[in-house]
Amino acid sequence: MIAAARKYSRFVGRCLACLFEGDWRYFLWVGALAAICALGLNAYARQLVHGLAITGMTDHVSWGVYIANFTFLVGVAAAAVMLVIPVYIYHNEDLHDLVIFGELLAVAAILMCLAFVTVDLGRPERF
Amino acid sequence: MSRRSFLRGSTAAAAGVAAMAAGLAPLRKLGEAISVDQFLQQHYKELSPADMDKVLRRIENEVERQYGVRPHVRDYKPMNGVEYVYALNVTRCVGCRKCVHACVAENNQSRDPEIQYIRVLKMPNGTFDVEKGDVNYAPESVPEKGFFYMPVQCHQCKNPPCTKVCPVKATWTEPDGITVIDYNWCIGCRYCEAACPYFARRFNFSEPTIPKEKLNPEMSYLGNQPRHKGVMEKCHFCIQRTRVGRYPACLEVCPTGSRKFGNILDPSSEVAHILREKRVFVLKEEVGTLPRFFYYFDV
Repeated sequence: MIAAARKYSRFVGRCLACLFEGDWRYFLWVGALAAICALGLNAYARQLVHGLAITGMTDHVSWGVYIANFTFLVGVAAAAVMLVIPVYIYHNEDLHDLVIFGELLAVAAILMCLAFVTVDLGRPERF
Repeated sequence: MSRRSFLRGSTAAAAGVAAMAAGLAPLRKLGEAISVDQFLQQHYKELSPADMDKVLRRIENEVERQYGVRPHVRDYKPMNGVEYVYALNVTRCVGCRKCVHACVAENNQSRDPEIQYIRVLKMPNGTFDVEKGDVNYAPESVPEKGFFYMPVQCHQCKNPPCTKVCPVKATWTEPDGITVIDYNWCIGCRYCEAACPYFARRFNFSEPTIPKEKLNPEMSYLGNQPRHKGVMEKCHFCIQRTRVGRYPACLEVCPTGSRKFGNILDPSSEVAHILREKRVFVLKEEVGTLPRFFYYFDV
């Protein structure tokens, strides 16, 4: 049990270490993405303070880009998971590697889905 | 780890933390956070009478702190043997919008941005296309020749789509036919607004503002207690008036007597008479919502 836990924490540690390996182009790319994340965080902080009105939504258009992105990414996640069908039903061995990417994409899309529904709520703390 | 990579790493980490702090800076204006009691409050139907009492006192304190007026907040229960029905005379309505403003004053809606439960549609005589009804008409005087007016508000449906879609059961129909919202349970997803075929629901997209002197201190929990930003609200047939036997504010102010309200279970009531004797119709009958809001003609 303890050995397994130690092994797992070492795995997580190595994964984290992987994040910081790369040349300047890698760090430039990750830095740019992190900057976009920070902008989003700032926008959400402002929305929490001023309400959903700052998104420009009104009673007439009560669902906007948040929900559109949410439904789109649900589809992306489902489709990515469905990649297993040719692999396991038709025994297409060549697609095995692609399935892994499909699952990774699905996980990423689901995380974004959760984030999009949460930011769309008027009272996220009650959810 | 070399000295060089350590320095570089810690610089990057410091920059990250600084960027994060800058991003979250607007949260300083979040004002006073919601109280623990408010956060832990149960759903309306799970509150015992003692809990409800505590909640009502808390709301009174909060309103007094915010507006400087000591309100009288109560939780009015439905009466037995009562089912409310509204009837509106389309022939008589002159489109003065007095009902709209009486409603805003009675029910403590936000004044800026102004939230109105009632929309008055102006349509040319001889047509009946509510989607093309004009709600922003502003002539010198009403009624205008060649037009008729049709106020639309929550129809308190017997088969309401809005309560079915609510993911947290924060809205439901009471035994007396009024569809209510637990403002302290609503998560603000606006699903009910999308489901309503009558566009009866209104969302607080920003913090509601009510001038202190305009606050109506007679409040009910399910009715006109001040709402916070991020929750849904709508017409509730003035629950704080009708459940103690008074008429809704929109009816009392109507100068033409177009609005009729009463108990449909009482055969001698005015609305029962109208439904028996007049030419009555409901809006969007084909969607099967079975409204408790009827329109009728004099002819």
